[in-house]
Amino acid sequence: MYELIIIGAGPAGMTTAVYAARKKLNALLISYDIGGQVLWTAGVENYMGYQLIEGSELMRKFEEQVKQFPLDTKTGERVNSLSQTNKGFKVRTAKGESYQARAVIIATGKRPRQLNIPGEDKLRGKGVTYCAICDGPLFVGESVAVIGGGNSALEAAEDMVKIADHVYLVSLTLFTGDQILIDKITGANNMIVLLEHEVLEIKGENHVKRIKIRDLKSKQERELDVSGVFIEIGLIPNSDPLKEIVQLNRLG
Amino acid sequence: MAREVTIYTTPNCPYCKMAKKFLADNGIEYQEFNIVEDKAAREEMKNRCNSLAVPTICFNGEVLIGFNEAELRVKLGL
Repeated sequence: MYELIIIGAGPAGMTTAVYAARKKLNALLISYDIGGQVLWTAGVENYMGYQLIEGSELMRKFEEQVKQFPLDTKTGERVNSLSQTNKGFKVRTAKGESYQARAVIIATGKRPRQLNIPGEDKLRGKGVTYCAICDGPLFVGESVAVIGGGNSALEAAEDMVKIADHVYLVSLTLFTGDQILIDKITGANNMIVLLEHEVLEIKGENHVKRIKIRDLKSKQERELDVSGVFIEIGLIPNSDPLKEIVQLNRLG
Repeated sequence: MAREVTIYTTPNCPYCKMAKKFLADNGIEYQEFNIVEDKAAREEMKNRCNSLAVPTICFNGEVLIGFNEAELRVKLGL
């Protein structure tokens, strides 16, 4: 039985691990991956101390710091459930392992939100992607659409505008991301910004061929020829396995 | 059965790194194609594997798009 189990090894989980280790708690860090959402970011420009650092490099440094300490770590493990016991809590993993501790810190991060429109599931991995840093290089010289108006969408658009033929940035709302990112992309001559537009459908048989969009003001619908669709419309908390003992709000 | 595992990757893809680590940790030899540098491999991945995402892992006629450890474990018989 541990004194503490930390679920998740993104920045929050790894920072917790360092604090727990410095207090010499008998602690377990359990996570599917090391680095969490920061791994999806090519360049981090707002982590104090670094003017620019790759997300994966920053997380490697976090991991190095955690590894300085003799802390039990289980990676590649997804937590399936968290339940209360007489003495604390029990964590069960997808691999069937279970671990117990007096206290649990939940730092499970988030996953990409889906559009939930026709064609999205069928064409996932065939032009529909939620990881611009992974799949962006596949679309060199092609036309793509980035969906969303927040920082993740703006960052994906910034990456893609350097390598794609045309980038359509389609957002349901006005921009919600940082002005510094908006400034970076709005001047590019291969960027077409379509604010207050809704994506209705992703079309294609074996691969993405086009998307159908609607202008929310004029109600006009039209299709854009694209071979890639980068969906960056926000994140959903990874809180499903925890809902038995943690009260969740409407956002999860 | 002998497996010839091929993995298509891009350099900054975190799931590609996780997939390669999983294969290595389980003693599975693999051939890697970085599709940023190797345009022919990119076309092969697209046309032969019908995939436009990385990692794409191919072996014995199976194509797995993305890294799903549980699925990969089953398909590889681990």
